Amino acid sequence: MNDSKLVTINYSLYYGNFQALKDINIKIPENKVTALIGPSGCGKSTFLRSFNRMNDLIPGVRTEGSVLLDGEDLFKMDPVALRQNVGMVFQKPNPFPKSIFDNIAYGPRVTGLKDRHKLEEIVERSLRSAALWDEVKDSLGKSGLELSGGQQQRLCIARALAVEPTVILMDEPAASLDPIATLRIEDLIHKLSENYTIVIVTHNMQQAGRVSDYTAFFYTDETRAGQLVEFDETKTIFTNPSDQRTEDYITGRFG
Amino acid sequence: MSGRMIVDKAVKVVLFASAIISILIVLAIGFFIFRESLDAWAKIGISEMLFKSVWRPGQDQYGILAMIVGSVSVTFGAILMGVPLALGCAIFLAEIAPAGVQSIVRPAVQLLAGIPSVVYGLFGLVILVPMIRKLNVPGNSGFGLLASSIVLAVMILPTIASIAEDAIRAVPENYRQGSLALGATKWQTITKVVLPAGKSGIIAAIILGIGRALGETMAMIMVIGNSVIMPKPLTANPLTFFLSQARTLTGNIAVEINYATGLHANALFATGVVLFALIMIINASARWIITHDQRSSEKAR
Repeated sequence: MNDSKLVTINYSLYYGNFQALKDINIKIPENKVTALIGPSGCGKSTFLRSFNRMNDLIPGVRTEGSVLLDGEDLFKMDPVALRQNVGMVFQKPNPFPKSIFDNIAYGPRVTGLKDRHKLEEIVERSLRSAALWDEVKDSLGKSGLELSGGQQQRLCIARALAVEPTVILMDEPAASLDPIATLRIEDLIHKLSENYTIVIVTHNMQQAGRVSDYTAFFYTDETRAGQLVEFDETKTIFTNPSDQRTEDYITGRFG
Repeated sequence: MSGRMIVDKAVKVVLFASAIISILIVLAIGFFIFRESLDAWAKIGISEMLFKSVWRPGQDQYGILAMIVGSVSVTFGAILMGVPLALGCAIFLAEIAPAGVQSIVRPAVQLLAGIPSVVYGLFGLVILVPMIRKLNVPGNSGFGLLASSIVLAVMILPTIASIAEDAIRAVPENYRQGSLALGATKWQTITKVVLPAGKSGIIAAIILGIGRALGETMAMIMVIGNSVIMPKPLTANPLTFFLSQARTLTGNIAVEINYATGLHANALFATGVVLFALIMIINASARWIITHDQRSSEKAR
């Protein structure tokens, strides 16, 4: 893993006096899928949200250490510009109550793009990349809320792709979907990893095994501060973990 | 039957009776006003009343068009000034102000709703009217649509601000997160996602504000001048329209009912019927917008 896209160095995060993340050091490789796994409350979602600074929106959050994107300190960047480079897909599909077209065009528009022809190009390209184009190409004016849950989630992925990020963060993107929709999302993640660095939080061990190249196992002790226990290639984590806690979690002894 | 079952039954009956009584009161008021106005509609004629603007009870001329225009104009003026202010307040409270600031600003705005309308009238009379009188326009008395629109704008502010704030807060948090995660600024998120998503509630807030403005009486009597004239610009400049005096539907009733008898009294009740109808239309449209939008967004989910 020599091409590290995202790097954290002794990174800690506090909600007021409560420490949610403790001394995390990780190097997330470029154009690979990295899964963050661990029991509930271990801080993996909070950690994910550090990469696009969504935690900034919560009052009382404080961080220590550093997070680097392409070698540059994230916390010295403009958060608005950062979020155009680091896209995010949420647990519950959250298309805007707007048309499919306007959902995808939203990101390019807020950065000032008005040219209708270019917007049409971006919408088509993004929908194709998210494997949704064939299903919606004749109904781009339909509200995004009228799509099925799985389609909504692919719409949200397309929406994130439209601003041309290099990193996509996914917070349990299939947690609210049925098994067939879940498989489609997983296929899509696999395909997208050719061009994007993807970091995905998941509760589903099989999913982590199926979609990810690397896996990070988070765990929390009695202090309730989330820590990174082990980070390695996914097949190593699942077949030959070096930490007893990882093995216990993988084999379902707790969590 | 055990004791608590009897209490349970009795409470149900009492609550049902309370609900019925409030409906009956509304119906009774409507029926009473309408019955008292019947003679006016019959003897003067509906079109004579609604579309003529000469109101001379001494000569049995009862056109209320000037008052309808007066009420609508002052309401329009109040909306023009009050809505941006109220929405600014609502957006600030719901999206921008930290909790500490909210806990000062929100009670202050709500306090405006508790001030008696006669006090607003006094404020208009003592502060606004003399200030407006200084504008050097022939025929400008200081009393009129401008002074009353300003007073009314402040009076409807708390109604619109608090309902619009609730509407903005009801917009799901994940819309905001989705927008911010795409690299939108906070202000872009508010104007392009939050306000459109809360549109129906915000429109309902404005409509309820209109209803409140149409019904206001005391403060209007004190600052609008009460001349029964069709409001019109005082000079060639159309903006001087707002320096014109006027009378509202509510003011017409309150000013004259004490000495009115016979057909004159009937005509004042007819004024009340028109007001009643206007406010019912306004409230019904607010209700329709809220339920209609809820239904369409539920269907989408």
